Amino acid sequence: MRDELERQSRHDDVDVAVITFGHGDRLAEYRRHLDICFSVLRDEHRDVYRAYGLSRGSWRAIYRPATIKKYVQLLRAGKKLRRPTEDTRQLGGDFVVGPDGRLRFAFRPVAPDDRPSAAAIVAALERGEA
Amino acid sequence: MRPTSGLRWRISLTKGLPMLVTTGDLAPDFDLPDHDGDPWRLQEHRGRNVIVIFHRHLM
Repeated sequence: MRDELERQSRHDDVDVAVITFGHGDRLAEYRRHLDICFSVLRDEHRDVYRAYGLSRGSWRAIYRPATIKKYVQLLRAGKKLRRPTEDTRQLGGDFVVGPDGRLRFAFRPVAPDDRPSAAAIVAALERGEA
Repeated sequence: MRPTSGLRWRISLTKGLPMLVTTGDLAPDFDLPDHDGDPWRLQEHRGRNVIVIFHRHLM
């Protein structure tokens, strides 16, 4: 997916923006650390997140048996769990906005590991070619 | 004509919910600071495709 995004961002008519939350003092560091070339934006109060119809995941969707099992395995292996610094129920979302400003694609996950396919995003870009 | 209690109930149920933008709708405009602290506004990218990704919290 990331490779596809980087490939798309090299096109002259495609911009990519990654929207993060929380405090912004480490955004530049985060961007360097991940070695990404996209714009990284900060939606501190999640106003944009809500405007795009995104919400928090249910407890059931987030703390699934597989997730709890993973935590138990980590604890058994002697790992110390850190207190989360972000909202663990926050989900992501993926959208394509066409050159006319209209949504060409919207993906709203119900679980943290839900992802759209790269092919679906590419198809949306092709529909909205400038 | 006064709305029935059922209609009032339906209105109150939807009142607090955000309008769900769907494909074909105008994308909500936004203006957010980027990694360098500079403003980044969606509307300024009109005429180009924009992929907007909301970061996932990874557990």
